[in-house]
Amino acid sequence: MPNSCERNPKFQQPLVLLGQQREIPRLQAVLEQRGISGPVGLVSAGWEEDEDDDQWVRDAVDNPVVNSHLYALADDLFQRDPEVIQLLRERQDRLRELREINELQTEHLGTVARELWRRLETHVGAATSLRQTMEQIQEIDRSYLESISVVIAEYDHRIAPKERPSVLEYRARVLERLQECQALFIAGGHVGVLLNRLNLCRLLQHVQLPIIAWSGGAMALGECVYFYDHFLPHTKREIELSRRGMGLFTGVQVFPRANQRLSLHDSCELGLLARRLKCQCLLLDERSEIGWSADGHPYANHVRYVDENGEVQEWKP
Amino acid sequence: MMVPTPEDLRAAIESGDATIAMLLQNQRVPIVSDSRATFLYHGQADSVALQHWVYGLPSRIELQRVARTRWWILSLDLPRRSRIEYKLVVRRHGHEEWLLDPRNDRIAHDPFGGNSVVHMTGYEEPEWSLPHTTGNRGTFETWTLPSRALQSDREIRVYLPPRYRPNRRHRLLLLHDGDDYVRYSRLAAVLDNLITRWEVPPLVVGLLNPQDRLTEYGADRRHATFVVEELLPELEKRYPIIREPSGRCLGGASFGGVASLATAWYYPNTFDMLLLQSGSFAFTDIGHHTRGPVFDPVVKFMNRLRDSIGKPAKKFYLSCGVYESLIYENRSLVPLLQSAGFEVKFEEARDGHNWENWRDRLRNGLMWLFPVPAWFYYE
Repeated sequence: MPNSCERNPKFQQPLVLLGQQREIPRLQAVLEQRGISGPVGLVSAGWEEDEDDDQWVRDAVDNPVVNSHLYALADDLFQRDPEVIQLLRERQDRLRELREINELQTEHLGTVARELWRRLETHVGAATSLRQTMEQIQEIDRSYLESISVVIAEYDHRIAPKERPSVLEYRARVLERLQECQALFIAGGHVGVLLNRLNLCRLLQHVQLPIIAWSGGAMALGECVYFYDHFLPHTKREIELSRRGMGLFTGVQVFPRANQRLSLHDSCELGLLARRLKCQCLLLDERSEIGWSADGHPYANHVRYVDENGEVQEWKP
Repeated sequence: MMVPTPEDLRAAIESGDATIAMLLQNQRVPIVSDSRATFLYHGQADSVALQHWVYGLPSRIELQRVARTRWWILSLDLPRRSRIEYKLVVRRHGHEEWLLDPRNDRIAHDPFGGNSVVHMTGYEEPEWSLPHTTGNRGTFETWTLPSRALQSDREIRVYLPPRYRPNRRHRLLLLHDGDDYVRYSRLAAVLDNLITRWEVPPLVVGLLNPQDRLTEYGADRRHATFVVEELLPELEKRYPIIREPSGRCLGGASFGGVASLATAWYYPNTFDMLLLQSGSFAFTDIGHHTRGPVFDPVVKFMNRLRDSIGKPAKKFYLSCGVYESLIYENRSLVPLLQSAGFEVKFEEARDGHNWENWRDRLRNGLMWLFPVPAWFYYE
C-alpha cells in the first residue's frame, strides 16, 4: 500500500486532523502550537439542530469562537428558496438508491471475502481468490463513485450554487460571520449533513484559513467518506462507502473513534478493510494528530494504521 | 496470572492458612476459569450452600468442607458469558443466614437488597452503562399527579435528556418501575451515554412507580386508564413530546412488562413501541397455573391476549434471561407477535431475572425501538 499522504495543492493553508475532542479536547494546544491567538470560526453543522450547542468548544480554548451557523443559515435559505431543498431531497433519494445497490453488491462479496480469509491458511487457492474478490469490490466502489458523481453534477447544474442568488446570499452570510477569524474548526457529527452544507455553501473554496478538523469533520475532508461500526447492534459489519469527501487530503483514510467503532482484534475485518481501500487506513483516537504545515509537509502523532494482514501498527507519513 | 484449579485450592487449604492465603492473593473469588466457577467460604459453620436463581439447576447447592478445616468449596460448570447472582447460606447451630459472599466485591443491588455476582469468561459489564465524568447529562424533574383511576396521588419523575430543546418535539419513553431502573439498572447513565453518542435520539422518559405493584401491574385496567387517560395528557401538556403513537414507547420489566403489554392492549393505537424485559407473561393452554394467586389476573389477561392479539403496538423488543423460569413464556410470545405481522426483536442472555440483565439489554432495545442513524455520526 503506497504511503503517500498529501494535502491537496489547491489548499495552501495548514491543515490538522484530530480524533474525537469532546471528552478530552486538545484544541487549545493545537492553536498554541500554530500561534493562532485570534478568533476561530466553528463549523458544527454536523450537529444539526444542536449546531449552537458549542459551549464545550468555547470552554476548551482561550480564543473567541465564532459559530458559522452553516446549518441554521441553510435552513433559512430553504425557507426562502424551497426549490433548493426540494432538489437536494430528490438528489438524496437517487443517491440512496445507488448506495443501496453498492451495499447489496459489497455485502455479498464481503461475505465471500470473509470465507476466503478463513481459508487462507488451509486452501492453496484462497489467497488468489481473495485478491480477485477484493479487486471486484474495488471495481464496484469505483463504479459507484462514478455514478454518484454523475448524479451530484446533474443536481449541481440544477441548483447552480455558484450563481443562484439565494445560495450566494447564504454563502455571504456565512463568510461574513467568519471574516475576522484566523482559523476554522470543523467538528464532527452527522458526516452526510456536514458534507451537504459544506458543498452547498462552497465554504472551503472561499475561506483561506488554517483548518483544524476532528472526528467526523476530519472524515469529511478526505477523498472519500466511509461509514463503519463493528459494534452497533442491528446493523451490518461491512463498511459503507458513502460518497466523495471534500478532497483536502489524499492517500489516507481516517477512522476516528477507532477504539470504540472498530474491532481492533479482529484481523479478518481489519485486513479486509485495508485491502478494500486503495489508501492507508489511519486510526484516530483522542490523542491523534495528523497535520500538514503551510508548506505541505505532513507529520503525525499517536496515529496507527491497519495493514493488509489486519495488524495495527504505528504510522508515520 | 495462573488460575488455580479446585484441586490446587484443596491442596493449598490442607497445607495451611498461609498457603491458601498466598494462592488467593490477587485472585478474584469465585475463581473463574473458562466455564468453571469455584466458590469458597471460610468460617465456622455446620454447612454452607450456594443459593442462586438459575432456573434449571437445584436452587441450593451444598459446598463441601475441605478436610477438617473451616474452608468450604464448590466447583460448578457454568456456561461462558453467563452472569450469575447468588448468596451463601451459612447454617450454624440450627440457624440459617443468607450472606453476600465476603470474598467477592461484585454486588448487584435490587429492591430486596443485593446479591453477589459471578461473571463467567466472556461476560463484560457494558462500557456504555458506566457513569462517565465527561459528556452531557440529562436532568430530572419530579411532580405529583392526582389520579382518579388509581384513587391516589402519584409522584412522577421525568428524565429530560442531554440536547433537550423546549422548541423541539421529543420521543417519549414511559417506563414502569422507573426509579428502580435508575437505581439498579443505571438508567440515567445509560441514557446519558447513548444519547450523547447519538445512538438513541434525545428521549423524554417518564418514570412510573407503583404503590401496590403486583395489583397495579398485574394487567389492571385502572392502571392502563391512569397511564393513557391521565398521565399521557399531562406529559403532553408539560413537555414538547410527539403527540402520536409513532413517538411513544411503553416499557418495563417482569410485572412491568405485563403492565406495558396490558396497557397497550387495552388502548390500541396509543403506543407504537413496546420494550418488554423478562415479562411475567404467564399463560395456560389448559388447566390452572401454578404460579400463585398474584398471577391470576396476569394469566387471565395473557390467555385473552393469546386468543385475540389485537393491535397493542407495531414494534416489540423483548428480552429474557435463559436462566429465568419465564424464558418459556417469553419465547412463546415471539411467534404469536410475529404471526400477527408485528416487528419483533427478541434477545436472550445467559442471565437471570434481575436488574443488571435488564440494564445490559437496554442499548439493544432502545436502538431497535428508536433507530437513529448512529452509523452516520462521528463525534
